[in-house]
Amino acid sequence: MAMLLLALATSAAGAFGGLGGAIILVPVLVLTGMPAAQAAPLGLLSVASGSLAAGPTQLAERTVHHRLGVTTETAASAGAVAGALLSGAVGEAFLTRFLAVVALAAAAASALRRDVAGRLIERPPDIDLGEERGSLAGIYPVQDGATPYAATRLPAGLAVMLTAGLVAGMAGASGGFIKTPATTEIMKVPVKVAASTTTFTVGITSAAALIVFAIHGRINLDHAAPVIVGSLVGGQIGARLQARFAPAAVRAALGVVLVVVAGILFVR
Amino acid sequence: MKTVIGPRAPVRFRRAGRVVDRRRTEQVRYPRMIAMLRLLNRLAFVAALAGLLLPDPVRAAASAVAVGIVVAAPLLRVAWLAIRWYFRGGDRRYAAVAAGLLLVVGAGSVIALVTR
Repeated sequence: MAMLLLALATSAAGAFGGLGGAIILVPVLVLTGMPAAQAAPLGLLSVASGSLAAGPTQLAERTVHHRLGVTTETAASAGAVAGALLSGAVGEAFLTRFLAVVALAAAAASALRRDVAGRLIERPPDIDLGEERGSLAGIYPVQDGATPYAATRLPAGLAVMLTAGLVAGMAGASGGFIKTPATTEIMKVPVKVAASTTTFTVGITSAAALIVFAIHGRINLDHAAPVIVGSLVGGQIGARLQARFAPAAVRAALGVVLVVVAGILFVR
Repeated sequence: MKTVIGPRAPVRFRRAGRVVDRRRTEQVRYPRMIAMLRLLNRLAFVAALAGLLLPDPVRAAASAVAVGIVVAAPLLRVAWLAIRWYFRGGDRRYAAVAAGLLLVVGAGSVIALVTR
């Protein structure tokens, strides 16, 4: 029951703040005495559940760019597999400190996040909205208008995605706090599309690492069920809260929590 | 809400230094994929709930099913996209990228099996 409530609370808060639940869930599990190597797969289960829950809504909004997601994910999944394999080879102390660094990085990403939208144009016919065939460009609907975009600097984006995948595989966090800023700042994709595409891709990153963890027998099924239930429900609650309230205050609070958690992990 | 009626003009515009051709945007709403994801979402929830509430050995089996669904869902989505792009979209380049992604995940699984 404690695991269910923890997964529910962290997923709701994470989805509300736009960071994802795993970046809070994994450090908190480690603080309660669970080894980082066992907590990482549970974090990735939380990420994959959240991605699955958000999928239908984001597809209906037509803000996911599948070609961009699939392209960048080739690098991220390779990083996730490498990270999952490495996490079984390095010591517990290293993993805990790595997790602390990741929590600090997430806090920094949260503090620096900018909700920048793309350029607004007159809304084209409904059939014109979506991603462009054979390229990394597209148009997404915004209330009365639409925003065109085209991803740039793909090699640099792929390099950052590889790092995000490595972080996800080793720490059990989604890596979304790296992927979304990289997609907006490096590849110049509007934040709405970047966030939706990241939600799609973190599910794949998690799946790639979870297969490695499953084969190595590192997924605790007793803890998996409450994490999945809590993440599916918590993610929905967080998304609804995000639609009603401004998440800036929650994001700031999560940033403070992450800094405190990272500090405790460092001095343990 | 403003909509463009009649001939699509302008059909091309420049953004971030590149031309976006609106005539090539995909006229697809992914209704089947949305339905499939909703179904998998519910199945994962029910299986995980069973894994939470039922006694062993059903509990362990249900938890394993829930984990399996959560892991398989994004990979099924990529496979679905690869097939759609190859056979219906005529976009073989990105179909190959999607197949490559599945190959990366598959290669990772093989490496995990070897290093187990």
